[in-house]
Amino acid sequence: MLCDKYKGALIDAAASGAALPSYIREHVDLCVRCQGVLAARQVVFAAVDMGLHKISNVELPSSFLPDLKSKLVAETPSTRAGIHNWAFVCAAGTLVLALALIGLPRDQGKQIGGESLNRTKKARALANGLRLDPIHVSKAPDRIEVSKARMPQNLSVTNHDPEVLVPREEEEYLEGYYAKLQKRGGMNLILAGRQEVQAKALQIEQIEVKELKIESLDEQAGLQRTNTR
Amino acid sequence: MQELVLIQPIRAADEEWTREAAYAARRREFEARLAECGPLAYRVARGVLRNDADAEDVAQEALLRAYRRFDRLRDPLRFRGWLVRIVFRLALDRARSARRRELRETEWAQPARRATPLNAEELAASSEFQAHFGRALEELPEKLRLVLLLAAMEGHTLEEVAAMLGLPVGTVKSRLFVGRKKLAEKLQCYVTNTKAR
Ligand SMILES: [Zn+2]
Repeated sequence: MLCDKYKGALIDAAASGAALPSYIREHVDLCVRCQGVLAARQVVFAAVDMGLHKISNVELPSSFLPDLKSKLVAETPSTRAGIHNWAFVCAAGTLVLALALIGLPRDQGKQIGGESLNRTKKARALANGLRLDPIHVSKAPDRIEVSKARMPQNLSVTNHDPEVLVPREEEEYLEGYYAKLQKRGGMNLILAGRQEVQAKALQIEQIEVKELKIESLDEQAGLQRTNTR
Repeated sequence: MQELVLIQPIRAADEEWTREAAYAARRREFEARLAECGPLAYRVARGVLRNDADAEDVAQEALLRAYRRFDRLRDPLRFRGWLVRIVFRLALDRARSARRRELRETEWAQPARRATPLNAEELAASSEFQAHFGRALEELPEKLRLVLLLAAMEGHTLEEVAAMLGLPVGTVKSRLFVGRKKLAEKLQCYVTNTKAR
């Protein structure tokens, strides 16, 4: 039957809105059944398009953009500064640990053998290796800031937190910087008094040196292998 | 033992301030895109989820993800395409978990065949049709559904939809045609085969 044969073409015509081929048009003009099929499909397709338009063009809720913008503001600094703080803490920690591992035998050697090690030079070499700024131990008291003493009395007490010594003129910047970090739950800062930050001989008890080998400071690898005890 | 470390606080602070200024500039650039991309994300999510609150959640999540990757998505067209795909994906995930709950509670209610023909406006406005329409849309293959939603958004040409999805225009046209036909088949029960008014 022609009606069944043309049904697919009628649906496609309803979907696309295109004109029917003339031989089908002639049949439809004479066939009430096909006219019904075509009209019903056209209604459905029109309703589908209206439904799609309605569902795809809903209004944005008024709170959407303000909410999102406040999330964006909250997003940036916390995440990034957190990473930055941790990177700083890790780098500082690594530096102190490295100094602790390498510096102890040297200090012992200095005390026992009387050989003077230039700690500033050693630390600078290490710091350069870690891409941090140089390290200094005070030999010129004028360069060390005096303020707000909360420092432990004995510097030789074990404390692996790094202290930060700055020239007098930079103290204000440092305080501002650390205040900012602390606001984010970052780091602790102890500002030490000038008098208290004087190099003291290490008090080390019960050290027995079986073999002592001293190598050039320039040979970093050699330092690692220095065998004391 | 005690070690003393000198850092250079001025430089560190300067670097941080420079970085924060860069974040602020980046955020402003992103916010400038929101006037266009906020509605786009919300509408895609809403088209999939048919629920305002869920759509808002999903669209915001997608936009936050886009923001985190904004450095790699500065090209506006690439940005829109990426956003559309991520919001669509997130909305589908959300819809799947919601549908599992829903299916346990309700059966697919097939409407009774209508005795009287409706015109298209009356049909589209009926709540029964709208509910059925939403479910029919949900049952479409994802690739057809996304094209239907994007093409129906005001201001989108087929060329723009194609560019957003990285598809040839011919593919978009064909998906649009097939998608509408599938929807119409599912909704055909709402009209009788008599001549409509
Ligand atoms: Zn016929």
